[in-house]
Amino acid sequence: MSIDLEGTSCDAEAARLLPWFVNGTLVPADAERVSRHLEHCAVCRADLDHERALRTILRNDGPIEYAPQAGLALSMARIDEMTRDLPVADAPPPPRVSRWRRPSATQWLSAAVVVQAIGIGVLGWSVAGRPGEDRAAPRYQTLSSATPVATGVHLRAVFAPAMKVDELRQLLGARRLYIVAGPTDAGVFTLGALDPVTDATRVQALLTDLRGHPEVLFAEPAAVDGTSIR
Amino acid sequence: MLRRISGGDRDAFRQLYLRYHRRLARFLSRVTRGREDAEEIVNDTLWIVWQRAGEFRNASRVSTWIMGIAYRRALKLIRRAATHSRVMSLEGAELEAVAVDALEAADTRQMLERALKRLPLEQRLVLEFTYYLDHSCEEIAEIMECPVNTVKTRMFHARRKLRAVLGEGASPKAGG
Repeated sequence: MSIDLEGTSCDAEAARLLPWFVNGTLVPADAERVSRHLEHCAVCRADLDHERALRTILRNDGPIEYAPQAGLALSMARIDEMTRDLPVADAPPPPRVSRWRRPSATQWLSAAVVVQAIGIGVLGWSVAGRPGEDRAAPRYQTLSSATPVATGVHLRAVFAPAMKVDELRQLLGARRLYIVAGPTDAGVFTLGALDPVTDATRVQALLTDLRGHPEVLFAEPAAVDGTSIR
Repeated sequence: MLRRISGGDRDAFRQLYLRYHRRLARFLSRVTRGREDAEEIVNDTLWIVWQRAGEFRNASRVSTWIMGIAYRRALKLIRRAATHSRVMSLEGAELEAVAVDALEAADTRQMLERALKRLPLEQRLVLEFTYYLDHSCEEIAEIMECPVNTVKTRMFHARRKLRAVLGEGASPKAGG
């Protein structure tokens, strides 16, 4: 079917409503007005067929599917980050913080602070008392350790669910990265660099490298020394 | 759901994200340079929803409010890209060129896609909002922050230009 351009113009207001008559969103009064107009306007009847076909084509946009997981993980990571940056009173409290803040835990808190102070003192004494030893922060973490504050770049990354632990270890080891925190509910890991990287070019190269790995669903910069670089 | 999100409910946000991602991504990929831009805008949009859910006042449908945010993000990105001469111009292109291209197009659908890409952005978006997303004229006016009559006028010009291109050889056929 082709449309003869001569005589295809209809200036009636109802003609301008035709697209929304086609998609069914006109209020009843306007839909009725268009219906009545169509009864006596051949131009608009031809247009109606044309518009219906156009709508069908526009809605049939192929088999491309979008997987929301990576984007969702990124958004949840942002939320995690924002939540962490909020003052404690305003933030949805992470479990450990909320436990400490319960009034019923006050006594435990006092006791813990004393024990912690003693522990820190003993530790400080033992480190300071060994001249010549490497006094850099230890690069190990026990299961009960608090989340370390890594220096240099932080990255957020999500790995393929099917990725094996050995593969993850190899991926991180080859790039001298380690897990600072995670995974979050959304599967987001926070990564730190064993060799602190703060130069933007090197950060970008590292991200490009990670993103090129088939098991990395997304990788984004998180912070440099606690400051967001996004 | 927006009320829950405004209260910091992450599960509610997750549900909303999954509900809107496909709709937004597919639509945005049609009017931007493609998938990558679309994903970026979807994430920006839903991030804004997370931050501003408390500002929603029930004056419109939730989907209209969210689409309005996506529209403004898309417009910003497209205009920035157009400034760098990489993507569609807000002024559109000469339709004669499309007509010539149309002769080389393999079928009506290809012709239509090419013709759509040459429409001024605002006109194309009215078409897409109407036929791809089934928004009413009033909702489109709200999304695009313009009078209803402006929406009708944009649609009128879009249809006329498409007819000028497609009418020469073929009108759209749903089966094509």
